[in-house]
Amino acid sequence: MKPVTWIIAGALLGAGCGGAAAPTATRTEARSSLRSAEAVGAEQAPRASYYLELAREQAQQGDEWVEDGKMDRARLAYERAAADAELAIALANHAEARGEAEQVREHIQDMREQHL
Amino acid sequence: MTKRTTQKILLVAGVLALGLPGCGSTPVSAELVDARDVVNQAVRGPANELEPDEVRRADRTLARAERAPDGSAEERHFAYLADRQARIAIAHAETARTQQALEADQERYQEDLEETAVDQSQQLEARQDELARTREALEDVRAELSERGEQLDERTEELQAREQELSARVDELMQAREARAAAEQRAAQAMNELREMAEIREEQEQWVITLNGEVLFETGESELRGTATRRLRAVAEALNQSEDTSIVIEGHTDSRGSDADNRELSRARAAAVRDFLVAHEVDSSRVEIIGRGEAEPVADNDTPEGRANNRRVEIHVERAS
Repeated sequence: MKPVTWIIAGALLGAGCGGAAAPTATRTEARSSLRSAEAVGAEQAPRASYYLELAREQAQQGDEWVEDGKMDRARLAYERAAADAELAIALANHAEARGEAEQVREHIQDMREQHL
Repeated sequence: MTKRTTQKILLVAGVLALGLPGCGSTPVSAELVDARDVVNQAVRGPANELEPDEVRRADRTLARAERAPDGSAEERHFAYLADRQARIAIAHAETARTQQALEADQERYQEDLEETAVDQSQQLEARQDELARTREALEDVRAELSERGEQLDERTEELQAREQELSARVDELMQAREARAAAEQRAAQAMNELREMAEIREEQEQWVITLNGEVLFETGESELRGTATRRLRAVAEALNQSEDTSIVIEGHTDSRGSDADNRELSRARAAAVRDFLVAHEVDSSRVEIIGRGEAEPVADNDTPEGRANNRRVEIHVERAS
C-alpha cells in the first residue's frame, strides 16, 4: 500500500480525532448564541433554562475536547451547543411573548370592564 | 485500475466498514428516534406553514442523520441538531401564533372601543341636545316667572294703592258719618230749640215743622207778616245745621174759597217761606215747594179753630241718615 493510501484511510478513520485546527468559528458562534440566550432571560424561563444548561454543557465539552486536541469532536459539540442555545432563545422569546400576551389580555379585560 | 489498486480500495473499504459503528444489525440511535418524532410534529403542525424554512432545515438535517450509519456518532449528532431545529421551528411558530392571537385580540378590542366611542359620542350628543332643550325650557320658565313677578309687583302696587284709597275712603266715610251724626245732633238740638216757636213732629225719615198760617200771613195774603220773621229766622238757623238734607215746603189752606185759588195761595205762601229761607242762607237747591191747597186738612173745616189749624205751612226736612 502506498503512503498516500494510508493517509486517506487514516483521515477517514480519524475523523474528529484531533490533528485538525481548533474550530474557532464554531466556538465563537456557540458562545455568541449562549450570551444571546442569557441576554433574553433564558435562565428565568423553565423550558428555555433546560436547553441553556445543555448548551453550556456542550460548550464545556467542546472546550475539553479542544484541550484534548480532539478538534472535530469539539466542533460538533460547539454546533450542538449553538443549536441548544438557539432553541433556548426561541423558547425564552416564546415565554416572553406569552407573558406579554397575557398582560395585554388582562389589560384589555380591565379596560373592557371599565369602559364597555 | 489495476487488480492491486482494486484490492487496496476493497481493503480500505473493509477497514472503514469495521471502523463504522451501527453497521449491519446496529440499531438507530435514541436521538434519531426522538428527532424523527419532533421533526414529524413540526412538519404536521402549524410550524410547517408559519416557519417553512426552519422546518425544511430540520428536515434536511434529519435526512443527514438518516443517511449516516445507524447508531453512529454522526447520526446522533445530526439527529440532535435536527431535533433542536425542529423545536426551534415549533417555538417560533407558537410565538408567531401567540402574537397573531394577541394582534387579533387587540384589533377586536380596538373595534369594540371605536364602537363604544361612537355609541358614547351619540349618547353624549343626545344628552347635550336634551340639556340644551332643558336649558331653553328653563329660560322660558325664568322669563315667565320674571314677567309674572313684574305683574305681581304691579298688582301689588295697584292693590296697595287701592287699599290706601279704600282706607282714605273709609276715613272719609267715617268722617262723613261723624259729621252727619254731629249734624243730626245739631239739627235735633235746633229742632228742640225751635219747638218753642213751632210744632215739630219727628217721623221715621223726616222732621215736620208746622207753622200756623195766622202767624205768618194776613188772611188771603201771601206776604209774610213782620212778626213771622223771628220764627222763620229760627227755622232757617235750624235748617242750616244740617246743610245737605232736602227740604220740602208745603202750603195748606182751609176749605173756604175755590180749590184753584186755595192751591194758588198755598203755593204762593210756600214760595214766600222758601224765599225767606233762601235769603237766610238756606241753599235754594235743597228746597222744593208744593201748594197742597185744601186737600190735606188736619182738622175740621167747619169750626173756626179747625180751619185755623188747617191754614198752615209744613216744612218737611229729611233726616240725616
